[in-house]
Amino acid sequence: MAAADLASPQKPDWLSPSEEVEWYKSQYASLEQELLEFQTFSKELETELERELKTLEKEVEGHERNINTLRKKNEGLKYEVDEWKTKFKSSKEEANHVQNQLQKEITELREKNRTAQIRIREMEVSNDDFERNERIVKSSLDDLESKYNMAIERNVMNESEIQMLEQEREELRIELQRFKDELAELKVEAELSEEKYRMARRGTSNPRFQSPMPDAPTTPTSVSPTPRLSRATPSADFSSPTPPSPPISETSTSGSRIPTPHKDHLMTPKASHYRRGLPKGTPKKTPSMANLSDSARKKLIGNAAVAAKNNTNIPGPNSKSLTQIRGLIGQMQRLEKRVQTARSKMPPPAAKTPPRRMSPHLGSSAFLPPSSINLRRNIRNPGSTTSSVTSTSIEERFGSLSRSFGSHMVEAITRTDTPSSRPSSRTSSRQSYSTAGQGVSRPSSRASTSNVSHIPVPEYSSLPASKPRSSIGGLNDDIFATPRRGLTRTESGAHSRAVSTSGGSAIPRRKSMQTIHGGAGSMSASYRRVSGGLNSLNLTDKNAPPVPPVPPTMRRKKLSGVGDA
Amino acid sequence: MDLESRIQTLQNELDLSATTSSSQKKVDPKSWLPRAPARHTLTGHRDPINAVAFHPVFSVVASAAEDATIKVWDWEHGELEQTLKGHTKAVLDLDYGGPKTGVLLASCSHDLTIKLWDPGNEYNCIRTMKGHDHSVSSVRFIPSGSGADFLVSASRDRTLKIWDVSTGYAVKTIQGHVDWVRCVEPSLDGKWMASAGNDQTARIWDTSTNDHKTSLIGHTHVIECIAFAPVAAYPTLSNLAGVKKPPSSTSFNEYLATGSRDKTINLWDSRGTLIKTLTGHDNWVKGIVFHPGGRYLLSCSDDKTIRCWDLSQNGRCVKIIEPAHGHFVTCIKWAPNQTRGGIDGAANGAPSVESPRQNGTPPKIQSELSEMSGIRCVVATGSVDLTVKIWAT
Repeated sequence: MAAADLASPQKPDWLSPSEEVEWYKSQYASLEQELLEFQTFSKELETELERELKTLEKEVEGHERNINTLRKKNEGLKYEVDEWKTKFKSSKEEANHVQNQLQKEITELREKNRTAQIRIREMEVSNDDFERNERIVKSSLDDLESKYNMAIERNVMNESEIQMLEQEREELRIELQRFKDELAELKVEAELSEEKYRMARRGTSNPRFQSPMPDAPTTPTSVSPTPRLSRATPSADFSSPTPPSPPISETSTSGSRIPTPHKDHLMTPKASHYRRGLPKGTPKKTPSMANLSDSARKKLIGNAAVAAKNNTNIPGPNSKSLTQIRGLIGQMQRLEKRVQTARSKMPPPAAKTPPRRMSPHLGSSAFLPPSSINLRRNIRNPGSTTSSVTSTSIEERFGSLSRSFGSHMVEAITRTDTPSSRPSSRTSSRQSYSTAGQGVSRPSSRASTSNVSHIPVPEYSSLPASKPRSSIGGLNDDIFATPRRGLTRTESGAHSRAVSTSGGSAIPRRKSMQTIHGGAGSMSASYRRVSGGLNSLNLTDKNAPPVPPVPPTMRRKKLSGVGDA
Repeated sequence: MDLESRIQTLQNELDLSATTSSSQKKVDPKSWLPRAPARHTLTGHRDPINAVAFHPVFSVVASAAEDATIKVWDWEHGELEQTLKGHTKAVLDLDYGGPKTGVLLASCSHDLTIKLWDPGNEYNCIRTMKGHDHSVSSVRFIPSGSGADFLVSASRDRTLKIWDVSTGYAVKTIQGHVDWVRCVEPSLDGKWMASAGNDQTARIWDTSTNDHKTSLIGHTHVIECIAFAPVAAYPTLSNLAGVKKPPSSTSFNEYLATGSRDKTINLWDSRGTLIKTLTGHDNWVKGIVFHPGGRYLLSCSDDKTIRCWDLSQNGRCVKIIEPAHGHFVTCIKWAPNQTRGGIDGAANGAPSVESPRQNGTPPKIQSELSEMSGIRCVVATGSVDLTVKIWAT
C-alpha cells in the first residue's frame, strides 16, 4: 500500500489512457517485484527470528534449571542452618546447666573444705588438749600411784607394828598377870609376916593363937563369889575342922603324886603356847628373863633357903600349928583327890568351852590344840580371877604348910605346880618363870603355895568357869594399865621378880611392898600365923593395917568387884 | 645472871641481824630468788592455767586459763579483782602493754582471736582481732620508744602476724616456720623478734623488714619458751660464752634462752651458736625468765619445780623449789621493773627501755644501781593445779 501510495503521488499528469495503462502496468510490475522481495526478506527474517527465539528459549530453559537447583540448594542450606541453630541452643543450654552444676559443686566443695579445715583445726586443738590432759592425768596418776604405794607400805609397816605391839601387849598382859600373881603372893607374904610379927610380939600364948581359926571360915566367905558359883563343898571343907592325918608322909606323897600327872600335860602346852602364841615375844622375853633370873635366881635361892629355914624353924615353937598343918594337909589331899576326879570328868564339857575362851584372850590358835590342856586351862581360867583370890588364900595356907615341911617338899611341888594348869595368862606367866629356870629356885613359900593351891582351885570353879573369865580380862586391863605404861616390860619384870623372890626374906619384900599398891592377899595372913613370926621386920614397913581379918576381906571384895566390873 | 644478860644481848643481836638480813634482801634484789612458801596462792580457775602477766605499773597480775577466762588478781593482797570472759576457748597467752597513753591487756586463744582489754575501763574488751587460721598460741606487744603500737602474735598456722593496735588490722604476716609457732618474744628494744615452736628451731626476725636473721638449731623436741637476756646479763653470759668483752649494751638481741620439751634449757648468742645447755629438769621445760639482775635464770617445768640457774657459776642449778606446785608448772613471769618517773613508762615493763638512757650516764655502777632500785622481787607462776602462786619476799 505504501508503494501504491508512493506511486500515486508520482503519477504524472498524462493525456492518453494507454500511457496511463502503460504507466500503471509498469507500476504494477515494479510493485509486484517489490512485494516478492519483501516477502522473501520477511520469510528470511522470520526464520531467523524463529531460530533466535529457539535458542533463547533454550537458554531460558537452562537458566530456569539452574535456578531450580539453586533454590533446592538454598532450601537444603536453610534446613541445615535451622538444625545447627537448634543444636547450638541445646548445647548451650546443656553447657549452662553443667556450668551451674559445677559451680554449685565447687561452692559445696569449698564449703566442705572450709568446714573440714575448721574441723581439722578443732580436732587438732582438741587433740592438743587431749594430749596435754593425758600428760597431766598421767603424771597425776603417777603421783597418786606413788602415794598409794607409799600408803600401802606404811600400812604394812603399821600393821606389822601393830602386830608387834599386839604381841608386846600380849607379853605385857602375861607380865601383868605375873605381877598380879606376885602381888597377891607378896601381899600374902606381907600379911603372913605381919601376923608372924604380931605373934612374935605377943608371944606364943595359946588363947591368942586361937584367933586364926575363926578367921579361916571368914576368908572363904569373903571370897564368896567363887565358892558360891562353884560348889559349896570346898568352903565347907575349908571350914571343917582339921582332920587328923599323918603330917609329913602325907604331904610328901601328895607332892610326889601331883607332879607325875601334871608334868606331861603341862609341859607340852607350855611349849606350844610360847611357840605359837608369842613367836616373837619369847625370844625377847627369854633373855630378859634369863638376865633377871640370873640375878633374881640367886636372890631367890638365897631367899628361898632363908625362907625355908625360917619356915622350918617356925613351926617348931607352936605345937598347935602342927596340928593345924596336919589338918590342912588332909584337906589338901582331899582336894587333890577331888581334882583328880574332876579331871577325869572334865574332858567333854571342856572341849566345847575352850574356843570361846581362847578367842577373846589371845585370838591365836595356840591354845586350841591339845584338848586336855584346854580343858585344864579352862578349868583354871575361871579360877584365876574369882578364885585367884581364893586360890591365893588357899595357896597361902598350903604354902605355909609346905614351908614348914621344908625345902625338899617345896622343890617337888614347884616342879609340879609350875607346869600345873592355870588360866591362860596365868599359865603363861608361870611358864615363863619356869622357862627362865626360876621354877626351881622359887621362894619356897610362893612356889609351894601356888602349886598346891592351883590344883584345888580349878576344882571349885570348874562350873562357873566362863563367867570369871571375862572378869579376868577386865581385871587385867584395869589393874595392869598403870604398870604397863610406866615401866618397861623388862624393868617391871625385874622388879616383880625381885619382889617375888624376896618372898621369904625381909629386906627385898620391903621394896616389893612399896612398889606394889596395897590390896588383896592379906587373907592368908591368918594362916600364915602358923609359920610363926619370922619376918617381923616387914610389919613395920607395911603401911597396911596389921589387923588381919577384916581389912583383907575388904580388899578381896574390892578386887573381885573390879574383876566383875 | 651475868650469863643470862649476855645471852639476852646476844639474842637481841641475832634478832637484829636477822631482821637486817631480811631487809637486806629487799635492798639487794639482784640476788633475790623466790623462796619456798609462796606469798599467795591464788585459786579460782577451774582449768589449768596457761599464762600469767604482770601489769607494768600496778600490783596486778592476770592469769589465762583453759576455762576460757582471764582472771585479774592483786598480787599484793592475793585477791581476785576481776574475771574476764569473752573467749570461747582456752586462753593461751597474755601480755600487758600497748600505747603509752593507756596500758592494754592482750590475750589470745584457741578460738583464733586476739582480744584487747582496757584495764583503764574495767577491762572492757575493746577489740577482737581475727586473721589467724589456727589457734593463736602467743601474743606480745612490741615495745618501742613511743610505746607499743604493734602487737606480734604466733599461731599454729605457722605464721607470725604483726597487728596495729590502734586499728586492729594485721600489718604483716611473717612466714618461715614449718610448724606450729608456740612462742614469740620481742627483744627489749622491739627491733628483733624471736619465735620458736614445734619445728624445734628458734628463729630471729628483724621486725622492720620481716627478714629472717638466724635460726637456732639444737633442740631435739618442741621448744616451749624463749626469752631474750636482759642487758644486765650480758657480762655473765659473755663470760659463759668465752667472749672476753661483753657486747655493747645498746644491742638487745645478743643472747637468748630457750626451754624445750627435751627437758633442757639452751643458751644462745644471736649468731645462732649454742653457748650452754642447762640440764636438770625431769620433764618438759614450760617457762623461762631471766632475773632482772642478770645473774640468774629461772625456769619452771612439768616436773613441778622451779629451778634457779646461776649463770655466773657456769649455769649451776643453785635453787630448786620443789614442789612449787601440786602439778605441772606451766608459766613463770617476773614482775616488771618499777617505772621511775613518767619518762620511760616502759609499757612492757622491760628494763631495756632504761638502758639507752643509761648509756649516756657513764659508769656501769650507776646503771646497776638504778636497775636495782627498779627491780621488783615478785615472781608469778601458774600451774595445772589451778593455782597461781606469787613468790615474793
